[in-house]
Amino acid sequence: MSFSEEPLLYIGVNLAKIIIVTHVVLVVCAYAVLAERKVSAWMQDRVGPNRVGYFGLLQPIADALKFFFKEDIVPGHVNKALFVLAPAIALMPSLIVLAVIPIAPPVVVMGHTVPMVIADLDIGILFLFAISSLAVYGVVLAGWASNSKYPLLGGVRASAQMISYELMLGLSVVGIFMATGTLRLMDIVNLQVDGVWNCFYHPIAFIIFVIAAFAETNRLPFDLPEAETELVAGYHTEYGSMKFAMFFIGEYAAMFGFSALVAVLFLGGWDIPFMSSETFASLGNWGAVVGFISFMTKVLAFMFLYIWVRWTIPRFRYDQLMNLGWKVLLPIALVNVIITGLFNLPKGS
Amino acid sequence: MELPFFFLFGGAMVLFTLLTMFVKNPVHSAIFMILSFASTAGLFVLLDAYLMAAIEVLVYAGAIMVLFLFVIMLINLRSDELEGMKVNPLMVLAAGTFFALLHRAISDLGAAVDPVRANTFEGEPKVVAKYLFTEMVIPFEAVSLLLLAAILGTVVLARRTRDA
Repeated sequence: MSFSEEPLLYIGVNLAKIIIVTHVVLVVCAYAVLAERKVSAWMQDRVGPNRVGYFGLLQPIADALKFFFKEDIVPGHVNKALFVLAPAIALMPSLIVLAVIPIAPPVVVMGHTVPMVIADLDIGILFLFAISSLAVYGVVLAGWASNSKYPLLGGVRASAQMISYELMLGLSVVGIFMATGTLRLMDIVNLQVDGVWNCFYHPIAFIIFVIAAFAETNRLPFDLPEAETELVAGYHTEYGSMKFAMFFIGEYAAMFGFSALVAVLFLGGWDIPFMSSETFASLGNWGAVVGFISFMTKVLAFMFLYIWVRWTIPRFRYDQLMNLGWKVLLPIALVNVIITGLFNLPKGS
Repeated sequence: MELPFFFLFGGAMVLFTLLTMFVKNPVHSAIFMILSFASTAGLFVLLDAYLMAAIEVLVYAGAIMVLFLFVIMLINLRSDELEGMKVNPLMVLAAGTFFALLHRAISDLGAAVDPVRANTFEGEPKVVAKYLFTEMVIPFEAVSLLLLAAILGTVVLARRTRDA
């Protein structure tokens, strides 16, 4: 199915995919907040939210309503245009990157094979890195536009931190592209479905990627830009109501995006061990359902790891963060690229 | 189909570039520059040069401009400090020389690299990589040496002022 053959069907199917993916992710984000509170309560031997609904299951809805009905305050000393724009910039990249992430094997609808990815780009992973590199502007501009001390410090920290760790993120996946010879995420998953998961082929890259993903999403142990014990709340100190909520959703959407990326790049995407692409194909559309469940299991497990780490490991100091990035992770990532290159010499050389 | 998009992205690019130059506030200026890079990326997409579009956003908009903003925020100029900048002949000379070099380089390039054609063979990243690691390997290494020298020079200059 292509745009030139059946434009209306093409547009309809893609719109449906966009709407479904966005809403699924936003609901997962809302419940990830509840999960965060429940898991932290469990780890600290507390009860956690349990008033709204059974087990507190309606808490996200109550929170959302509260955010909507709170007064929207814009402090007098801020740069108004950028202050309003920053939360939107923080949220949008995390949603846009989901466009290139394949979530399940292709589905056959009315004789058409529909790939379960919104945009199957040739340069998928580069697109993803390009867009997610823009997320830092949300934090930086929020810090600057707030026009007060602690947000500015948070913004400055964020810019240096995210630039540094983007490098490790990019370098860690170079090995995968050298071995697979493609940037298309769909191809990378298909190779893993019929082969071995990349986390076994590239264990060092996997570890570096996971560490860098924590730093890129500003999550503990690398949440220096907000660091509530030193910077009040860092870049979102001056924010309230729905604007604050957008930063919050943006953080969890970014967590979802990186979890999905880890699943796709290293954990085989929708693959289930000992199932090949023929097994998936023989199940027909049920194969896609099984694949989607497998993919979501991996994503949610990784999001649980995010929460688990947050309530286990204390925050780094800023110089430790920079040392870890530039003096430890970067050399390891570079050596890893060289070693991968030696193992994957082009045939005939 | 392509023409309206060309005027949309091209017009946006020109507009944002002009705003970059004429806006007073340096942070606003940096943001307009980011937008102008994004419009340039749009033009690359219209040429089917997806790799260039992604690199434009990833490197220029996503990395270099973050560092620009970082520096602007660290210096944190107030608007009254910005008035003092005057055009001196040396600046005009430097800008003129740079423009002449750039013009020469672009006219030398001519139609040697056609992004549309490059993309239709075997996927753009492969074509670019092939050029980079065979024909272009010496210029590529020369540029990286130049950048290394620039970094070392910056560090040396920054150190000297600190000691004094």
